[in-house]
Amino acid sequence: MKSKTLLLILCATFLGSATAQAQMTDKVSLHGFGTWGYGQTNGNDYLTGSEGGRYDFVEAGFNINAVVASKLRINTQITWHPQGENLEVALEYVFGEYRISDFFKIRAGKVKHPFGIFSEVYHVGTLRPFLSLAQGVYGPTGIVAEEYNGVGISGSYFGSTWGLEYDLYGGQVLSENEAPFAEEEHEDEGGHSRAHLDDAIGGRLRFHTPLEGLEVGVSSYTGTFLEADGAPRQTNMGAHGEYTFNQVTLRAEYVRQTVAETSDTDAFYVEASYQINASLQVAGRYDWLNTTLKEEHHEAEVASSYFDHQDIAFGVNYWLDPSFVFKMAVHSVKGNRFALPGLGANLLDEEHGEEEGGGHEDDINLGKTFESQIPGLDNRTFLFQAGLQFSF
Amino acid sequence: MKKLLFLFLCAGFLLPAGRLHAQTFKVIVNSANPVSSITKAEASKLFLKKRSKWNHGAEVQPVELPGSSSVRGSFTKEIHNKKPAAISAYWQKQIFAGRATPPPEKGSDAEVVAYVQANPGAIGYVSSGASVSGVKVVEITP
Repeated sequence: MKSKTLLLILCATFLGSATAQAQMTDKVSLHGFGTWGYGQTNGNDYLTGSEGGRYDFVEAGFNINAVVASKLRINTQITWHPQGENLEVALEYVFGEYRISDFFKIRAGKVKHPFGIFSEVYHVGTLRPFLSLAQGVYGPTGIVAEEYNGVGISGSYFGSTWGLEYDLYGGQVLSENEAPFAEEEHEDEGGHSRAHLDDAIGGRLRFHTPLEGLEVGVSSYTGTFLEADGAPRQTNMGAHGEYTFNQVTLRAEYVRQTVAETSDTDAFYVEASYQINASLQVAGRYDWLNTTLKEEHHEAEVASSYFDHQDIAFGVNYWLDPSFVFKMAVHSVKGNRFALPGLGANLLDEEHGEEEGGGHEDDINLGKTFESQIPGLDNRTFLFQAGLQFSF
Repeated sequence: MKKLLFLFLCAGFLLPAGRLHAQTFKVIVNSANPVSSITKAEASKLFLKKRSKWNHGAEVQPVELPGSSSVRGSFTKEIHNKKPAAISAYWQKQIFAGRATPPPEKGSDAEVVAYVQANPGAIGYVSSGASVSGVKVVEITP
């Protein structure tokens, strides 16, 4: 389906909804979200931008929730992701949840992965001040996954001034990992690198503190790449904090990934936004990542900028409604972990592999070789990004 | 006389200190619900679906007025102590994380009353002057 057609359908659905709930009946509810983004850089491709400017970044999805019985819900979400000039459909998650009590619920199926602040609402742009999430934490590094196949338990307890929420799960965690040091890569039908972390267990704990507006939490999961040589173990852990008071929202997250005998990655971001009035908002963010390989000869063969990422961003947003926002931002990026020449958002996009950047496919396909460097690699990227995001 | 009037005014000011100054709305529950008063914090939890059962075991079934309603705006400010945009963001997060959906919205006070009357565990709010025949008004305490 063409991007523009989908965007028009979703806008019409959004505008036609009588209320922001888009509730079809008391038992079944339909919600959705969408993003359109434009980006222009000074050279490298980064996020929604490329040197000549790109207008074609569109993401959208529908979420359907059905109350089957008083204690049983079924939830599903279908998402459209950009792939070249077309959009690929993905069943992002489908799971059942049985509520025994507020403190004990069982979930099973393809479930949203609970990690940090945004993993479960990765594509919902109306919940954050920037068009794109901080890439150090939420980029294609295999740290924060979007879903897992398996079973989990979750629950919450809220006192008069504080609250506690927890998630525990086990199964197969499915994430996107375009790291240059991934031992094995598996492409899905859309050409995205998927890292299957099998025999995984993990959890998240969130504490709503007595200080109103302050939430802190920790997340972690571990599993093995069973299909890779030696079945290396990967462990990811993170901590987060979010504080909202008056018109100000502050967020910070730190994550660490350890892949046995291969690499360690640290990343964090800090973000602040200020709501000037009901419509106007300004925001700033600092985003950082560094990867260290444990096998030193790999570092000698690959430009060090592949393992670093820094992004300083400033943005201005205009909220027509809490569910509809225009966003603009400028990013100053150092490092090539996510900003690369002529590749777009997909490092394995063979269409551009031999035509841009002066390199050949082996140079660009960082997952398969450590031998070459891209001639004239620029480790500084500036991005202007604009777009709109909505949800209903 | 002046002293008496002064004392009378002070009493009038101090007496309502034990309840919220909720002039624009009143909270209602089904007539069979044994609850007669709840705290502001508890009411907030019920409407945000942070608690799913009443103490007597019935399922909590909150219902709201439309987002454009001034009564809802007052309720949000006084009970949740948050702006409507913050509550909207809360529900967006719950919905797209697959954890909960917001309470149903009814278009008028009369429809809210009808919903509460028909559902044993229901809780809603209506404008302060609305007819609440057939349901019970609950006192909201600080």
